[in-house]
Amino acid sequence: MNIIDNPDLQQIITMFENSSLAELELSSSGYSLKLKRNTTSAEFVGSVPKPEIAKSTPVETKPACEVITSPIVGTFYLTPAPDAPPYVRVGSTVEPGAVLCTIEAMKLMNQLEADFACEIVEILADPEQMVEFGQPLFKVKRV
Amino acid sequence: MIGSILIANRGEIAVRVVRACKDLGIRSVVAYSTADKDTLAVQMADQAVCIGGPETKESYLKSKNIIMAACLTRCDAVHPGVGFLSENAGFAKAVEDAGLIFIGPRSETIALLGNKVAARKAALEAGLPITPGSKEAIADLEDAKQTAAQVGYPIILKAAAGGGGRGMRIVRKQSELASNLALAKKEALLFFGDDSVHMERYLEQPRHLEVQLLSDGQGTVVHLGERDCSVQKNHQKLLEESPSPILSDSLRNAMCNDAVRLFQELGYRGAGTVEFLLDGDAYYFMEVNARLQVEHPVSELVSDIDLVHAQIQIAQGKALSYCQSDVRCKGYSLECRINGLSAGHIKTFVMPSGPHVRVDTYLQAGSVLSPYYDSLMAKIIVHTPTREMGLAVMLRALDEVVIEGVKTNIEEQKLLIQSRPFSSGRFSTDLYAKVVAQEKHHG
Repeated sequence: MNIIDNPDLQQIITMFENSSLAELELSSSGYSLKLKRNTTSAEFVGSVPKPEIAKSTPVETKPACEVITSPIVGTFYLTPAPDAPPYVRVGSTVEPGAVLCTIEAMKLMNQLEADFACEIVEILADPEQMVEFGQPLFKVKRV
Repeated sequence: MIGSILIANRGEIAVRVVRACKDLGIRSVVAYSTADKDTLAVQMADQAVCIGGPETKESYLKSKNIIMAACLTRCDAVHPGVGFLSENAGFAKAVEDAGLIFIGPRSETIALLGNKVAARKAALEAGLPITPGSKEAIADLEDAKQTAAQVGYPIILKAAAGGGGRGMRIVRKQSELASNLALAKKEALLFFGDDSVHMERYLEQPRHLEVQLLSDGQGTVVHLGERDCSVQKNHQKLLEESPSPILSDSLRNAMCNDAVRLFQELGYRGAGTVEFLLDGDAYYFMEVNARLQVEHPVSELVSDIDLVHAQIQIAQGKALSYCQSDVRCKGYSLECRINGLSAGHIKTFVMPSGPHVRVDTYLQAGSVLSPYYDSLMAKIIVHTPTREMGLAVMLRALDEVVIEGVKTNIEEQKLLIQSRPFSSGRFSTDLYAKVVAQEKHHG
């Protein structure tokens, strides 16, 4: 049975929410119910405390990846010179200000630097190919 | 040979150039901003490259990104469209320096004509009538007073590097001269980075006429007749027609021949327009638009010459295959600009069709009219045997339009076309103020 779809139960939950009760226990032939206030949120003045039963999905704890995009149109290079090692590889961790790649435009080598410390999760653009404005270059994870 | 063209523009003009490329079997690449990702030109082009954010200075004015996009997509040429970088001599030169063809005049020609004082000088040397005024930039207040006394009030002060109706001040008597000169210089510096201004006599009720030209840069210059663009709102054109309803054959011939002579003297290459002001029976050179113009379809319809095709042929170094006597302007054409009066999401978008009607637009139902750019939504152009029929067809076409989601100027345009001065052909550049302001007052 879907609890939320049951009008009687919804009414009980609403009454609990609007009351000053900290805990409520009910049982009948069809179900038994235990409602308890979230004590941490109840500390905030003016906020409406939610009963624990309303929590359904677990909170995502994995840090989300971010994408670094190209600020200009140009040719994407992962190495400072054809025979040089790449600035970064998948798995590298870099400090803020570290060079990630160069984008060549109008015979100028524009070095793209990391704004924050991060780990390179994936390289999204093909080396030596054109990249356009806003094109994803690196998937990174803040460290 | 040009095999691929990068189109550095947006909106209906980008669609226009993509169509020309397709007609000629040329690969088209559209450079677009993030705000224009879902527009028609991007969808129609063989390839599209995002060159920057929505603000024009981050994208459509960002020469470096545009040129890189052209080089990296292996284009041979860049078409600048209208507005944005189309009359920017520095951009034209940068395109050429990158080994690409700029579809437009030589950068030196653009630079010369971009300066109003230099352009007036060139016109005068080619024997064109110019409005009485200063031959050089105004030196100081004393110079301004003397020149104004010779020219006669009212006068207009214009920024030498100006355009688009900006940096202009009208002065009606000498007591107002000093303060206006100071303001004009300040505005000129602010808008155009150059504080030089020049002075001309101000014409109170002129007609705005312009001659469309094609010049191959190899000695052949032809004109495609004139366009009458006298219906304007704040110096922005609303309706354009060809031929002009009030121009006599003798004045037309003189004006067109003058325009051709100027382009021959300049050694001009490409499509361009010479603008004139008509005051009674006298006409005066105003300026050259060294590019394609928004209202070019009007001349295309009367002359049966595709101007964008011609631009591309000339840019490839081909001589014009026809001369003036081969150009036959036939019938009457009128263009009506449909402008948005608010930005937003377009729910319904129905354009007219049927006999005598051409529509140039980049919008469709579901499109967004962006707040970042020009408000032009569509151009409806009719071509008919006579002006009387042209006006009737245009009104019919406007009645067929259904646009929901944003406000447009369609009702204003209908008022103008139905107004007695417009249908009689006797009106001047203040028609909008007279007709629409009056209607708002009464209605």
